[in-house]
Amino acid sequence: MRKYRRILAAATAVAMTAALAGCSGGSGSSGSGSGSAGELVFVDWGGTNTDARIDAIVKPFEEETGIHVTVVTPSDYAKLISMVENNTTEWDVMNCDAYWGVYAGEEGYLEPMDYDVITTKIDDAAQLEYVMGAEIYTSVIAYNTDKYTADTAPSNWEQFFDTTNYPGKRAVWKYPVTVLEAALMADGVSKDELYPLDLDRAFAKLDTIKDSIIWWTKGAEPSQMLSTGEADYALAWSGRIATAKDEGSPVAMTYDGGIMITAGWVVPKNAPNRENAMKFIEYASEANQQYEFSKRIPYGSTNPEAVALMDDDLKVALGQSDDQLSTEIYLDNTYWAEHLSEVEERFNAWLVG
Amino acid sequence: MEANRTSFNGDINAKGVPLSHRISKLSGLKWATVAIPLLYIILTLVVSGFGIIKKSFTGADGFTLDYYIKIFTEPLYLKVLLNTLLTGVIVTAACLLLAYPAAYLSVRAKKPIVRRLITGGIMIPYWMSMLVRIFAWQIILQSNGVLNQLLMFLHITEEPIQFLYTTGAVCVSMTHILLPYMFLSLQSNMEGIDANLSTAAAVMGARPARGFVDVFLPLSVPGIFSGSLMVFVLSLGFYIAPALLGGADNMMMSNLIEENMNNFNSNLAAAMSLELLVIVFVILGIAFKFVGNIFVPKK
Repeated sequence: MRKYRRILAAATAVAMTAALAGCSGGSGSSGSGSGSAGELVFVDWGGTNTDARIDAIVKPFEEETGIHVTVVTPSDYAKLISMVENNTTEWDVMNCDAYWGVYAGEEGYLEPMDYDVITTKIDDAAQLEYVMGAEIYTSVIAYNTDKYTADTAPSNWEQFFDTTNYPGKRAVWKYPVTVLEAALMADGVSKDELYPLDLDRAFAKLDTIKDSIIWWTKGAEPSQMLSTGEADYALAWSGRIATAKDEGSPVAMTYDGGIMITAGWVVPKNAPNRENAMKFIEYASEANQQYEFSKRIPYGSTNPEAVALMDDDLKVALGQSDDQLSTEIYLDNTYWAEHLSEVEERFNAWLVG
Repeated sequence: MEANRTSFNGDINAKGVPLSHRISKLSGLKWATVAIPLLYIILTLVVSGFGIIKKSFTGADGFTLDYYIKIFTEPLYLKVLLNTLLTGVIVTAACLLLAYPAAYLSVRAKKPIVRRLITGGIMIPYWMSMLVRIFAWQIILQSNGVLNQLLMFLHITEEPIQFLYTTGAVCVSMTHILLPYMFLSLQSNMEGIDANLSTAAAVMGARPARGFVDVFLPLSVPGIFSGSLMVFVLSLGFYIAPALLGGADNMMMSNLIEENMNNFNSNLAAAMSLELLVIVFVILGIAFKFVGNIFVPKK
């Protein structure tokens, strides 16, 4: 009898803790109290990104409009999908990759952007039916400054894929987006002929360096890997490398051949505060707010007027000076919206195979 | 012994009394404490389970077997399934090998302090955040991490060995995290094994090793099975360890399921989840068929 009771107690304890352990995931801060002009639930990626956003955009927005903003992190695509499917949308506006936003919009999960309210004009390529472009982050070549200098490290994709002249481990994003583009550019495809992507050619090129690649999945990893010497070079996100560099890590990057990914705002279908969401997006897109945001965290801006406000040093740091732009390319959101699922599957098969 | 009596003589906890009889004899409050959790489990597991089953068979035009055909024929999904199962087996075996002696010691030690030390040593890391522990493994296993530095200091190796982003790293960290489950299972089972039985075996002339193999080990089997099942099932669904410590060639089901959930392929994700569930049932079924009711010690 004691044995049964003990087993039951132990099993219950373990089961409960297992259940608790299973409930991991993002935090949510739920604000009570309603502003006189309403509520807004704003979803962002979290960390220093969101800190900058709150400082530059959310707080001034609250003061100007009186709308009370609840900040939720992190952005979670699967959560948005299941919210819309189950008709329980709690989020009003979310920051996401533009190509995913286009995909989600086509699948019917988003509210179309209300361009009567959103009057700010930004880059044409970033002003889409379901997505309003916000910031830009770029896949760039980064390297460890303790071991390499700008001259000894690869300075374009062709060199990045050249293991003979540039031996060492490369940290690469474990995702096809921008990685396939980099492979094609390394193989000699010109910027204009990149899309639609020649997948066979891209994977063949990736095969040549597969053994030298260490894969990363979280944005903070490449600067870590470079600092500890785990990797010699990296395909990394510009914002993360710039931040690491400012904090003293021995890393540097070049924007040459950089592939610019647009992130933007989306409003999930049946968002409870749709009008406030559109107001927020309009406010966030204005030149001044974009400029303030880019000042605080090294992400580029999709608003040309915001770029005009920047001084030359900031432009170069963000990869938005004219010289740099001539070598960079914008990620094609339409291509990825259409092919993300199948290309990702093929990428996984290539990884495992 | 009482075991041979099957008539109900007032003690519903006696062996041989059928379960239905026992439940119907419970007083009101006890009935509620069984019924309410049971209802909760039925509602959450069974009802949502049906939702997932339905989803995995539903395509754009209604009923379809496409998703199942896909996950059973395309090499990517088969490889990942194999990885997942293999990792699960390795981790379960490692947990068993490590937890068994620890549990045995903690139960049979003469001084209570030994038991507390062992239990504490295994359980305290369990109470720390899992994410922190996985990051700690990153630091230990990386190229210039603690382990490599130690090996080079002792001149066992000259160049750093690539430990991180391998199947080994994933298995080691998962074993570390799942060890307490195995330990608790084994310990609670072993506590119930009468110490006098081992003494009796010695009195009968058995050497300690023989006494252990013939008397103790068979009685500890239910603990081994329930612990192994728990660890195996948990490791099938593990996400963080393979995501942060794994490389390209040891992708696990959880990573694939997560990616598909983000890409509007939740039907495929549902099919994969069900695949895992069925595999667990099959394993349980085989165990029950060949070994009998594995959760009750044999006579």
